[in-house]
Amino acid sequence: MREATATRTHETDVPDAGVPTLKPPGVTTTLLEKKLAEARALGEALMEGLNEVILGQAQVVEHVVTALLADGHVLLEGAPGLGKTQLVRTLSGLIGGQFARIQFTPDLMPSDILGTSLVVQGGDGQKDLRFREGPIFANLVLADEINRATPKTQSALLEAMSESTVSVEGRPRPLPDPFFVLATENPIEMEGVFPLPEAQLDRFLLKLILRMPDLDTLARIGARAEAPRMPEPVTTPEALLQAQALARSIPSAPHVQRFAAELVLATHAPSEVRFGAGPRAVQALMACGRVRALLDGRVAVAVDDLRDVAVAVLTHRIALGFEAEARGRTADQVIADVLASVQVPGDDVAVLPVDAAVDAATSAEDADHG
Amino acid sequence: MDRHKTVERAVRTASRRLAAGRARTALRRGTWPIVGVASLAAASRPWAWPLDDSAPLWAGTPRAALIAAGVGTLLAGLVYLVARKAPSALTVHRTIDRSLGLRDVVASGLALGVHQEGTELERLARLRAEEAATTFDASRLPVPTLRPRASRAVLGALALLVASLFGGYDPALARVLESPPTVAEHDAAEALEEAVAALATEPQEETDAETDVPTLQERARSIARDLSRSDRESALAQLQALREASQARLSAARTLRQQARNLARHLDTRSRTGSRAPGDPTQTSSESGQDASSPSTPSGAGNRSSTRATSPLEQSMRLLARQLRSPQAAGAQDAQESRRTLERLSRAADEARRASDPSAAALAESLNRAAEAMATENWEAAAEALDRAVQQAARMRRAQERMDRTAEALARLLEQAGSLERAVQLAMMGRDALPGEMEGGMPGGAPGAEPSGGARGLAAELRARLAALGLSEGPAAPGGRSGPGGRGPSAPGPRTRSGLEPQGDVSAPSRVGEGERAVQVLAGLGQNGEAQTGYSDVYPSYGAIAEDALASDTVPAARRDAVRRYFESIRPGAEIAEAGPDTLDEPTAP
Repeated sequence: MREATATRTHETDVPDAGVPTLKPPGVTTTLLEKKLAEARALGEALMEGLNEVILGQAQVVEHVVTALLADGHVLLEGAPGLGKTQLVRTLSGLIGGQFARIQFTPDLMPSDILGTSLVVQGGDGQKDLRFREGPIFANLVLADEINRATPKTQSALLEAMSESTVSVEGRPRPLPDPFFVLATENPIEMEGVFPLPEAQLDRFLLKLILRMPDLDTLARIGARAEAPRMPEPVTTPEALLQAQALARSIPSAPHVQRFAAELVLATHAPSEVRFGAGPRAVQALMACGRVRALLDGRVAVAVDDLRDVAVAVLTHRIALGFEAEARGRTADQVIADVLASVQVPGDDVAVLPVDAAVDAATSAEDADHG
Repeated sequence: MDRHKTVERAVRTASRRLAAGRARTALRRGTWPIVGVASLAAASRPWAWPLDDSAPLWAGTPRAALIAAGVGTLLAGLVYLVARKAPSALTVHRTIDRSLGLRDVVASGLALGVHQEGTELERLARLRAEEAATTFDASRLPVPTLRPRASRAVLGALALLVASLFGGYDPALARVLESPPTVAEHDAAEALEEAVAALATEPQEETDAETDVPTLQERARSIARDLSRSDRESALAQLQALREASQARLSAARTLRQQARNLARHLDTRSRTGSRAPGDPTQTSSESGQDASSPSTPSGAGNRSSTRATSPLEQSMRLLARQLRSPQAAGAQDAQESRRTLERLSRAADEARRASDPSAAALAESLNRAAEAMATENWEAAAEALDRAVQQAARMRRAQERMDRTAEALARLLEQAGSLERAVQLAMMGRDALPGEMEGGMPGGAPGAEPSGGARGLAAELRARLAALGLSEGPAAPGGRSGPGGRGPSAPGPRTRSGLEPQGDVSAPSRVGEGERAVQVLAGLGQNGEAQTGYSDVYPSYGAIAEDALASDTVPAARRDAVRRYFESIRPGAEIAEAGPDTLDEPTAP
């Protein structure tokens, strides 16, 4: 893993011709850059570990790691058998923390998730009312088929997601840190399910859709004779917390912040959108952007970082109207249109010549290397 | 510090190249609209920059091309200037990022590091941004070339060429291509201009703006221009205007000449009294030159002006003054003779008063004074008044001579105008000049004209036309006697009415030859049975004919007095003479 991290770092420091090599910075800067490199290596190790197990879902893996480092929760949507559960399992193994899986069913009760108080008789014969923690008390929680539970049960989980605490018998109980929920839902079976309301969907940082792998990937999956072994942890919860803290400190320039705000506002503009994203979407965009910058070895959020995560961040935060549904438009398509409509100064200037020049230079360098 | 300057330099370089690139990109994108607008502007040349009369017809296409080039350059310059505005700092920074393949490293770093109190990460971002900016290579930010691709350049040039050709179109050009000017038209137009130029060399009297020489010259030039553009309708209209103006001037010249002649007739005491002043120096010349110096031939009068010192009018007045001063005059003047002399002076004064020449007014005044002096039998005063009248008459004579020369030039001008009109009409009928029509002069030229054409034919034709207009003696027939009407006794063909001009245009070419006849259409004569010209206007012409006839042998001598009395009686203003039997002009036996 360390070899892989070192290789990746080298590639990032000198990714292409024209990227500057930093001069030897001061002590503080060196220490800071070391932390940045460690956090970036952590994220890359997680992605590498996940990609070894989950084939053909590199973008989903990248987004999952992004959400993990951004201290957010992910809603995974996909047909059965696409590796949703395996993804979470692998991630738990990589993190090395506590892992819990909750299979949501219609008869699942909130106490089944949060825990309950039981009468326990002690050694001295005394009977005490002792709280027994539910599966929610874990670092990584897999809420499998969350839309099969009743709204009451769903809301219990969503409260824990937003507050990182649960209240049982009037007493708040903090959840372990880091706390990462990865919920899945099956879009095919629509009978006996309780779709998550938009207000609760907003609690998820990202909504990721697992799509069918391509032919080569399927062939590689079929070639595996044995189930993938559980990977060794590449980090600890403490290191993950430090990486999350470092990601939160990544600064962003005003034009990037403005772009995020304009992007969220632009989701209200299309007539086919019943209601657009809220202010929490701006926070989600910026959080994900910071992690993307961190994973890319940069110390400032870029507009393109926001563009990369915009669909995953916004797709479950807007509600399409009847008109869009009648025309078969999806939320992803609408957000893609919104992305194209929001411009940043400099995007429209000499794009073609500059890109052509960069491509030409890259081609020339490739030819030289070859 | 050095790095900071390097960054600033890189940003400035990027800003300049970005502005230039943006302007050139806008120019490239606007190439076809610019070419389109320039083509439209070129095509609108006939309205935007029409060809004036002096411009050659081929000038349309270069003008259209010039318009296209001007409009295209102007639009391209405007587009370039408008698009070449300095980009914002953020735009420059992001473009540097893009050229280096970075994601907002420079843009975010330079924006975050503005304040020194930033976080450590912000300072690090600034550091990285500056490091990246120092590696900026301007060559990685290419400026689009303005050189178009060959295919587009060819297409654009073709579009402009087609537009220029379209803009070069002119109706005159189409006319010229369809029916180019004939050689005959060209030659006739040149001859017309030469005739007008010849007219300009003559001393000019004051005339109105329509008939002055500059106007005629301009009309001639305009006719030539119209013909060079095959605008024959306009040329004919201009030609008609020129002919009318020339006719007007010619008529004025003839009127002046006739008035002078009438004055002379009224004062001509030789034929009436038969008296001869002893030692009259003009007696012999006036008698012997009676026919040759007839005032009915203005050209002849003009030509003779250099050889003859005085006119018959002056001779008459001088003779009368001498008679009044002679010692026996006072005693010899009987009452009847005095009345006749007094009446002649009064008539002469009236005649002079009607003349348009300013000198005639002074002459009339002098004659009036002479008449008044004679009425009071103050012979000396009358003689002095007559001397002054002689001086006024001399001035009139000189003016008349000038008018004669002008009339001759006008006649030549009219002749050329007629030739040109025939050439134009032939061209409009799809023919060029018939053989011998334009070279040898008038179709079926005058009898004296030689068929070989050339200058002699033209001269003969000119003489014939002048004779027809009553301005010269006509062509001299071999062995014949020149005289009014321009035809000698041996000249065959119809006799031309001297002094009468056709009151219309010759609208069809005429060729007089074996078995053919001259065809003339006289428009305007006797329309609706009403006279078109006032009696007082035509009387001078008829009077001239009568004088000519009386001067020649056409009228028997026994009837001449009767004829003279008749014309005297119908002369406008003859009421004075008819007031009483005594006032009648008694003919005196020659």
